[in-house]
Amino acid sequence: MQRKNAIIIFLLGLFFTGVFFWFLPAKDKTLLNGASLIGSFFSIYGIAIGYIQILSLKELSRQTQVTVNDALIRLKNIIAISELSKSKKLVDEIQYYLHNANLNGALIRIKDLKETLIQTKYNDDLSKLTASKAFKTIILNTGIDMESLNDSILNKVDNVDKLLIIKHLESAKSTIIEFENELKFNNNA
Amino acid sequence: MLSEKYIGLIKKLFEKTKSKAAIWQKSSTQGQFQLQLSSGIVTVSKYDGDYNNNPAVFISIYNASGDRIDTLNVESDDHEFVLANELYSMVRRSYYKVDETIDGFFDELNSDKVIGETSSAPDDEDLPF
Repeated sequence: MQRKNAIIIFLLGLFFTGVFFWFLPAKDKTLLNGASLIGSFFSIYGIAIGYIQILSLKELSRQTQVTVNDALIRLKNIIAISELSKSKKLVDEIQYYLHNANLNGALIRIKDLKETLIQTKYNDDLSKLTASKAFKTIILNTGIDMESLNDSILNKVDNVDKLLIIKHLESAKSTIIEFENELKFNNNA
Repeated sequence: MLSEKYIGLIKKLFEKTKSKAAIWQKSSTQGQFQLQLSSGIVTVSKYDGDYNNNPAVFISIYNASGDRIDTLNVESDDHEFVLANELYSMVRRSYYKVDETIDGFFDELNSDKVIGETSSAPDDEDLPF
């Protein structure tokens, strides 16, 4: 498109230069003046083309920046979705360990879950959801459940309310699914 | 010996709970109760004789990220044990709504109505066909 425009401008410019030369008084229609006119036209044409090129490069640079930003946002979303999917698996694993009374296994996994939940808190695309009281409660309950498991293991006393932890985990899983869907389908970024 | 700040915290929690202005919930450790505030959580639990063979009340403080940032172990020979123990009892009573339940009993007992439920009559146990 730009090449076509450049050719049109070139031909129009050449035409008007020819017309200008044509209407010059007969005494001025010398080879030297003709060469000067052609030279001036090429100079102006060169400057115009240069300017157009600069504008074009600027636009290209802007488009590249937009594309890179889009790609980064998409990449960030993919990573966030992948982390959330991992969290769902962690919830299932913790529940499995609790059903089998393996508190050590549950403790290791609940630590990973807490880390992922805190990471999610800092995801700008989920800021509306993570600012909710429900999400804060999930982080707090995960922290307390982690300490309950820890204390139970250290004190060698099985006084952990596994059913309550499983209930907290179910709530956490529902929230994670909500976040995942928000990123997958409602994120207009 | 607890600091004045912690003693103040226990007293405030006690007052709030006594005036039924604090909503305590069960925690994932059996016999432990938690109170969620906007800046974190406080948990209260009690061990009857299985902690260094002495009864002890534990008060833990969690920050907003769910990290346990402090734990107070108030043992029976500490000066503050009576206060901490009263807090635990009050929290427990508040969670299980002990006073409300007993008040409900009194309401029923003081009324002229016949109280109690009859067990299902043998006729009711027949199959409906």
